[in-house]
Amino acid sequence: MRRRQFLSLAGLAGIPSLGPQLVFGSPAEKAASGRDVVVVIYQRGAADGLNLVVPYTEGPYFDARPTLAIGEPGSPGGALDLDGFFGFHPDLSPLLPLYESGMLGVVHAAGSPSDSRSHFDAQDFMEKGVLEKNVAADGWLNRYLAEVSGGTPETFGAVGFGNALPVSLRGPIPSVGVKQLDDYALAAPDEWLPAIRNNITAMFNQQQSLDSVAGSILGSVDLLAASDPLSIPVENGAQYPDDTFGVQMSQLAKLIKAGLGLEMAAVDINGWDHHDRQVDYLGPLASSLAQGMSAFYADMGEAMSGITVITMTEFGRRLTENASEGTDHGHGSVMFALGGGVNGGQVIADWPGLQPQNLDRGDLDVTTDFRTVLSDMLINRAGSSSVDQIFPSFDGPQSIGLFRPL
Amino acid sequence: MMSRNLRAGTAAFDGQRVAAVLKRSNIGHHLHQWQAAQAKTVERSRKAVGDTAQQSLVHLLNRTSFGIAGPDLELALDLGFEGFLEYQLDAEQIDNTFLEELLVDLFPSLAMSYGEIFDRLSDDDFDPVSELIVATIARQLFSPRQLFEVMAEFWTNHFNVFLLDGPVQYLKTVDDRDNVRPFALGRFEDLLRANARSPAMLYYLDNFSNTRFGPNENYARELMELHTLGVDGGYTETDVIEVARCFTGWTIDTRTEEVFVFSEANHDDGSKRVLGVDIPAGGGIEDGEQVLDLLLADPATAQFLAGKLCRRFVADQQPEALVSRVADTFAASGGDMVPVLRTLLLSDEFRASENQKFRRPTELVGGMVRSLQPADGSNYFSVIFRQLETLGQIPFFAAEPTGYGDEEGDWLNTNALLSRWNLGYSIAFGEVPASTRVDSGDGDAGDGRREPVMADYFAIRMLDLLGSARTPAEIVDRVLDQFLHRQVGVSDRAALINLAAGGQPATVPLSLSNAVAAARAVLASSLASRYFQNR
Repeated sequence: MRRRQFLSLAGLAGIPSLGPQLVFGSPAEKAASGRDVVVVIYQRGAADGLNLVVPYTEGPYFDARPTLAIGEPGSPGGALDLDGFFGFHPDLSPLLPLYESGMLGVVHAAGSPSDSRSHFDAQDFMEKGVLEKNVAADGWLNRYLAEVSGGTPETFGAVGFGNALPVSLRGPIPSVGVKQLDDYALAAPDEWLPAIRNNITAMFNQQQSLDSVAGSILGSVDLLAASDPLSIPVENGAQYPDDTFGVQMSQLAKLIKAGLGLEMAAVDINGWDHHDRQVDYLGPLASSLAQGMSAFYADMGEAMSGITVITMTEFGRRLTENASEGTDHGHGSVMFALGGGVNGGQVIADWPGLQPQNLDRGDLDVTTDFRTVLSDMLINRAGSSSVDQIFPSFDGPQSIGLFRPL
Repeated sequence: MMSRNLRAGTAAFDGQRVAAVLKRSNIGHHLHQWQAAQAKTVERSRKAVGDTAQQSLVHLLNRTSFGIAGPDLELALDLGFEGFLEYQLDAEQIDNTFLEELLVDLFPSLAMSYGEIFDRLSDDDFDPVSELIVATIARQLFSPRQLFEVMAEFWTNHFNVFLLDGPVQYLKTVDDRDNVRPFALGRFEDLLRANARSPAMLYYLDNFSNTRFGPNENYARELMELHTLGVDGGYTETDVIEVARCFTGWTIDTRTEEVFVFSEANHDDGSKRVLGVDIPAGGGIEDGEQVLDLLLADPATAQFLAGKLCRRFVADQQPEALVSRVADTFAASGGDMVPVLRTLLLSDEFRASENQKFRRPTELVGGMVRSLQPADGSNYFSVIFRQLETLGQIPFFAAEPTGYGDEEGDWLNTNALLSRWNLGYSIAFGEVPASTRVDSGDGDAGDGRREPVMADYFAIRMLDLLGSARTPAEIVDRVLDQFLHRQVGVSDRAALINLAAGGQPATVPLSLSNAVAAARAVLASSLASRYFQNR
């Protein structure tokens, strides 16, 4: 029998109960449907949940990580206390006020029950909402998009940032892929533009993926020309980090504010695979993540009552550090949720413990399936009634108490 | 073990560094001169577009080169499908002396040893990173050994090492020259063994710090998942741990000539069990060699490499019957690429796969340069580099061990296709502001009185492209023949004629200036079309 330490941490932390006064914002600022806008941040490379949200009362944590452990709260460079058991990595400090005000919640020992420790497979499975090959061909967000759009979404109904569309958004329902909005217009000379557009329509008519993307281009350049989201200012003194993630979160905020009917977005933050010298890499990346999320929160202001931001990563890191002052591939990690509908201010964990008998092959176990967290979000913040199709073959719990109902 | 304090962490990189190397070397001009001299020696024997033999050669060239250059197509027409394939497979017989001597002359770091590179690290104008990038692009665009370069890129990507990962900046040049390129059309075993000892690989996948005191599994895992067996190749998490133990002590020491060293003191000398095979205690460096033997002999390795090659050359959904035959050849030949590529490229499945691969940025940009052959004086290397940056495929810049993706989904989204169209539009129309499509500060473009336009960087010889064509229909057929080298669908040809005619009859000749303008529009739309975006 595996020992479980179920920690109901909101109570331990002495955080005041969250009253309805925290749910602000007018209905007009929500998506027209009343559903939350869903923003999915993917930490690619397998983020070290144990150093992002540190179980600082666990002796085995310090024993296993002589050079990497984050110290107890109050020690130099120590964790930022959350609830007397867990603490944030110090570079997550921009998230602390959001946690304390109840806007940010954490699920620990979360992730995929899949045994895969392959980045490629584990990301692919997670983005398809499954645990193995040949269960689903398209992404979970694409299936959610099918539900909310009835199959015909707004051009900017779903936006994926990056060089390619994230797997979570790939599938039969079209979404827009954005690397960055600067220069997002057709570069043909004005006198040729109408003829070139006619030619595009005539030559991209075969209903292959290329034709679908071509259609999205014509629709999206027109909408952007009309709404000019880049001219929308950053508000409330928000300070986005000066990196790709910061630029993309900033441009996402502008797209939402432009009123183009955006329902969901997928943003990547890359580089979490820290097999060596983790101290040099994890802090700056944690800082970028926290700054990007907190700037987005500030920038969106009262509209955050209708927005849910969720993070995920393919797996966590081994409890025991390796000889390179890094960590190898592990299992359980953490997920963060930010927004007006989050039962924040708590770390929710069916905490498995870190004694040898508690570990999954040396790794933090997964006690909360990522699909439980996503189902909780989709049901409570988006009114989804098709979670069974979005996560095929998933029969686990559909709620963990992280989200308030709409 | 690393004595010199080579900087760890991801190196900062600025495209201006490449711009400086381009300007200092003037490589675009040198290559143009060479290319122009070559072109004169080739007999013109091209057949009409639409000829069946030519269509299959165009398909072969599309998949085995970085883009179709006119002289290559003419040579292929002379030699025939099998003849041209054999010519490309026997790469050493293709004279490449001028290019390689030019590159070493312009970029001395290409010929340096590890020690010579380390000794110059503090020199301000020493930039092996930019030199390697520019030389690699130059080889891809200009080497007559195109299939060799295609395979060099395939293996570079298969054994991916991120160039900006700390000291890899100073290790990759030798790795590329000694561990990858010599075996591009050679045996997989040689590649695998060379890469296992490659200082760049040992650093990138952390094996340099894999010791008996705290094994690091990174290399062990990727060796099986990415380099040999594939993720479904039948190994377990226990195998990962055991293989990591076998490779403990394989590390790097910058004081040594080879940089690779085996540290007995850091090696776990206990017994191991890998893929069901017992490896007795006391094997030392032979433990790792024995793991490589096991992986090379495993049928999963032949199957995995065959599948990857079929995805590369045939289709994203690789035909499984072909994969089996290629795997058989792979296993029977000991992973020798010449028979393997023969099985693959002479197959019916290959011949039937026209237009089924989406061009990656490398092949998109390469195709523009090789097909259009920009005029000398243009500074198109600046455009090339900046576009590879925008579209996300600078050589050696894939940060993840998987390397760059090879399927349509890895490269196609709204913004990416828009950027690809805009590159074609701006090059074809020419008089489009160059601003964000080139590296600023290289100073050669424009006349100083107006904003530089794309034609200042990437000038197309429109009169050559147009020839004697004057009517809209002639113009379309001429551009398809000279640039795409192939027929397009009936309705697509009609759409292009419509574009060229601008509402006028398709058979009435245009004035020269209007004909040039129409040819630019037809070229722009051809570059944007599926006939160029796919290959």
